[in-house]
Parts: sequence; structure tokens; C-alpha cells
Amino acid sequence: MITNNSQNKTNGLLSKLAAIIVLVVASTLIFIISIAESETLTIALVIVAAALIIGLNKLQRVRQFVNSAIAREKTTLIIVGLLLALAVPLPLREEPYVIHILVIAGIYIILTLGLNIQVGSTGIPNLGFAAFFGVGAYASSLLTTNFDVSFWTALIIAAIISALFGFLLGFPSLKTRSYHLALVSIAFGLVTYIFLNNLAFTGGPNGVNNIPAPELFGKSMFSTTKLLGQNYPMQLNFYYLVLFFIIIMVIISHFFYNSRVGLNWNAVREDEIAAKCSGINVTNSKLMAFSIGAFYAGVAGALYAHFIGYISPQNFNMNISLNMLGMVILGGMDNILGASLGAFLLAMAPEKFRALANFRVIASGSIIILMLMFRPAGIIPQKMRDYGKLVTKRLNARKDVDNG
Amino acid sequence: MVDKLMTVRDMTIRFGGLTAVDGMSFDLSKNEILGVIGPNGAGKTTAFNMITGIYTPTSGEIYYKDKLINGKAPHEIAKLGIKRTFQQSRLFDTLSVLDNVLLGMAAVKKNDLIKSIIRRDLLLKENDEDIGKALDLLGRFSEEMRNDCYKPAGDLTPGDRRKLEICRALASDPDVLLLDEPAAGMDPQETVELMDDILKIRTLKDGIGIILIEHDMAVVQKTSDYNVVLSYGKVISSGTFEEVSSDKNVQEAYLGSEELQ
Repeated sequence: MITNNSQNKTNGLLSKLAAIIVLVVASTLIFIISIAESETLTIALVIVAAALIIGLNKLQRVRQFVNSAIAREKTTLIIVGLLLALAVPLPLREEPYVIHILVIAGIYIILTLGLNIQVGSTGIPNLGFAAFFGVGAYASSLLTTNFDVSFWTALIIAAIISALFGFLLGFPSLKTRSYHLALVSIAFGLVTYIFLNNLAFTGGPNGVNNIPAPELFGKSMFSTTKLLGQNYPMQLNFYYLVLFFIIIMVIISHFFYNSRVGLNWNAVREDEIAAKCSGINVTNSKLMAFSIGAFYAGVAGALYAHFIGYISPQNFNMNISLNMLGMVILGGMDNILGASLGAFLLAMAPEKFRALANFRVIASGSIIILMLMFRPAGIIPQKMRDYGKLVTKRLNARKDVDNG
Repeated sequence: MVDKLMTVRDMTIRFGGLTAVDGMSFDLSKNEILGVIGPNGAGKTTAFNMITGIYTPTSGEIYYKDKLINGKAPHEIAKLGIKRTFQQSRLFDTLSVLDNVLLGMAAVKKNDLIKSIIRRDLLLKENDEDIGKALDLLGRFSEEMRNDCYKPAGDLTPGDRRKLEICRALASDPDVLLLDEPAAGMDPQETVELMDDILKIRTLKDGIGIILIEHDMAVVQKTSDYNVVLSYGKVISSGTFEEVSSDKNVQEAYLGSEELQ
């Protein structure tokens, strides 16, 4: 066999470059569209983005090349993506509000990753996910305000308490499926909301105020940060804090997805009886999905409470649950990147539709309806699990035997 | 007694006033293919559902390797080494062919939460072995499915679906395999292939016992060693295919007594 080394090398470089360009262009467009204040700029960029997508779909060869480049250059893409994420807030020194929205979007990404485990991977329709978010937020803020626990300990305890609530919801839900399960989850969300609203130790409708800032190396995160010789607003601290947790949660999600845990979740989603008869303990699998999903929500809740500084039951009502479900559906079920993208877009959407005033809820709703009509599997649909070399080396080995 | 894999004694189930299976008894030995035949509604699939733990028998005993198993949960029974296929094939449709076979191994694998996070090295090694085994198994039944193992199971032809279901069941090396009407909905060509596949299973795993529910008499005749005939939940005849097919009771059950006269 003759291989042309230099050609391979240029091809490799070309695909690396193509992948990076696609990533940078796509993320810049999404970013500017979501934060641009002028309406003309937004509309112009949306048209540019649409033109790019349509153009890419028309040019078959370019599209194939880009797709294969993205598939091949995963490591490069992850590194570039991380660098972009780190650099994003740097030009926003004068715009603390934009960083604020980005932090909220980041918290939604963590939430959606958790909900995705339940809805996307395991097929549990959960319409009460905000309850877990609330439990996490209340647990961590009550711990820090009443018992003087540090933020970091409180975050872990809050996540565990939230996971316990997930487990608790899991038990009555085991016997139910689809619509019935959705109803149970709605009821759970409402009950939690009513409890938060009426219990004395949660502060009733007033909620919890004066939640202390997290401290890192003895420095409060509510203070400004000096970076590259310039003072940045305190939102920057939280941006990096949330980014740190997103990375951890994405890695954990990725590990679950690529192991028997995730595979079993999928089997339960597809067909419970076949899963049982294949030897899967469906009860365990479901309870795991309930508690792990809630664990994510607990982490997000703690981050939210300490970022905003005050919480009330209103922050964790049914609308939030529906919104999160919309994020998973919009982005793509059972796809980590898809769910994150969906969360980001829908978290930014209300800012975009601010001009529509009270009608902006309709705008968010129409996005989801349009998506379900034209791309029901979400922006980035679920893919077949790719085992890469583990499979290809065996298929190639067989081919060599056949040929020789 | 060593050769006995399974012994069923007086297995009975009642749904309200209906006795779906009434005092069914049979034995299954190693390397045996046991055909369960009978008209529609005779209770054949219900019997399978009791053996695999989906239903709990109202009375009677199911022994597997001399251990009483009735009342155990389906996944526990699968872990003991009893696997099945379904009449209406129940594959994991949106998952790939390979994932379906890997899931078939769930009975012999641990669903380990901690290991999936902190011991990725062990997991990768295990994955490597599992994928090797899964691809080998697929290759035994269909070279195309092996080479196209990322295809969603939902896109397969009925013949391939059946093959994949058998592969999925065999993936955990079971000692007993229950096949529920594997030839249902297949064309004659696929049926011929299926008969070969059923006989092939024994060469893949020495000592496996197979119970086969089937309406296609050609399949039963070619593959089964011994047969049990069910009618209205009762065993009305048993023996080799020649014996049961010449049994007057069986002919009556299938054709109705008037037609015989």
C-alpha cells in the first residue's frame, strides 16, 4: 500500500482549520446575536446565519468535508471551545449585565444537563424539575445563612439533599409511565412550591435574603477582580465559577453517557420489558436517573442562590420547569452538546424579545413550536454511540483477512 | 438429573375467572430444543411470561437447575441465565445494532456508577472485550449486520430484526433460550434461514436448552427434539413431532372435531 504522507498532512491541517473556523464563526454569531442590543444588527446577523446554514446544506461536498472535519478534530475543537469560553467575558468589562445573563445561562446549562439525564436518556417526562432546583437553592442558602456553613460545603450538601428528593420522587413514580408520570412530576413540583411558600423556616413567600457570597482563597466573590491590569465587575467571578461547574458536569455526563449506566438508561427509555428481560434492573436505573438529575439541579440551585443573593418560591415555579423542558427539546434529547446549546439559546431568548414586552413568552413558545415542526429531534439530534477504534480495528482486520 | 436444565410442574395462572395456563408440566434437558405448539390463545406466550418472571404463576413450580425461580423479578431470572425473544420483536429501536447486543450482556455486567466515573481505564478494557464478543456474535448470524453495526435497529428488515433479537439474547451466554414465534411475519426464504439459525445456536453454546413457540409446523418439524401441545391452557399431548402430529387430540384441537369425521 502506498501512502502519500505530505498530502495526508495538508489534509489534516486543512480539516483542523476548517473545524476551528466553523466553531469560531458559529459561536461568534450565536454570541453576538444573543447579546446585540440593536435590532437591525440582530436581524442582519440572523439572516447571515441562515444564509450560511442554507449555503452549507446546498454545497454537498463542503458540507461533507466540514462534517468529517468536525468528527475528526474533536480534541482541537474542545480546546478552542474552552479558550473561547474563557475569553468571552474579557471584552465585556463595561457590560456587567451581559455577564450576568451569561452566568444565568450557564446555570441553566447545568440544570438542562440534569434534566436531560431524566427526559432525554431515560425517557422520564419530568415537568417538575424546578422543584429540585429550588430544593438545592434553599438547602444551600439556609445552611449558609443559619448555620454558617461555607459555600463549598453547602453546595455539596445541597446537591446531595436535592438528589435525595429525586430519589423520593422516584419511588412513587416507578409504577407510572408517560402521561401519568408527567402528572406525578407536576404534582411534585407544585407540592414543593407550596411547601416553600408556607413553611416558616424557608421564609414563606419572602424567601431567604442576604445569602452570603462564596469565598475563594479568603476573598469574597462579590468583590471586583483585577485581571490583566483592569478591574472587572463581580459577575466575572461567577462567570468562571459557573464555567468551572459546567465543565465538571459535562465531563460527568459524558462519562455516564459512555458507560453501561447511560446505555441502560437508553434501554429503559426504549422498552422497559425488553430491558428487564435483558437483565437490567429497571428500578435501579430509574432511581439513579432521578437522583443524578436532581443532583445536577442541586448544584445549579446553590450557584443560583449565592449569585443572586436572595431567593423566593417564585423563582422555582412551574414556568421554570416548562422552560427547562423546552431547552432539552430545542437542543436535542440525550445529547450533551445539544442540551447545553438549547439551554443557552432559550436562556438568552427573553433578552432578545424584550422589545415585545409581555408577548415575549409567546416568542419563546413559538421557537419551540417551529422547532418541533421542522426539526423535531432538536438542533443537535441524538447520535448513535460511536465506539471509534474499538469497532473499526475489528472491521478492518476482517477486511484484511478477506483480501489477503 | 445433571442434564436437566429446567423442570416445570403444574404451572397454572388465572386471570380473574380465566385459567390461561392450567397445570402445565415439562422438562428441558441440555442441548434439547423443546417445541411448544398449540392454536392461538392456547397460553403459550403466557407460559413464557411466567418462566421469565413477567407474570407470577398462581400455583405450581418452576425449577431452574434445581432452584425454585417462580416469583423472581425478570431481571433476576435473566441474570440466572434464562433469556428470551418476543413474538412482536422488542428491540431498542433508536439504538444501534451493536448497542442492542451490548445491552444483551447487561445480565452479566455490573451497572457500576462509581466505576463509570473514576475507573475509565477498566471500563475501556471491558468495552473492548465486550465489543469484540458482540461483533463476533453478530458475524455468526449476519455478516452485513456486523459490518453495518451502527445502523439503528429500527431500520432493519424483519428477518434481521429476528436475528438481532437472538443475538441480543445470546450475548450473555444464557443456558436457556426461549424463542417466542420467531418465524412470525417472515417470508419463506427468511424462514429457511431462521431454521438454520436456530440449529446454529446449539453449535455456538454447548448444552444450551431452547424452548420454541412456533406456528410454522415446518420449523417445528425440522428443529424440535420434543414437543408439548397446549390447547386452552392444558397440555393435550407431548412427544416427538411425528407422535404429536398423528395424535387425534392434537388434530381435533387444530382442525375442530367435526371436520375430522
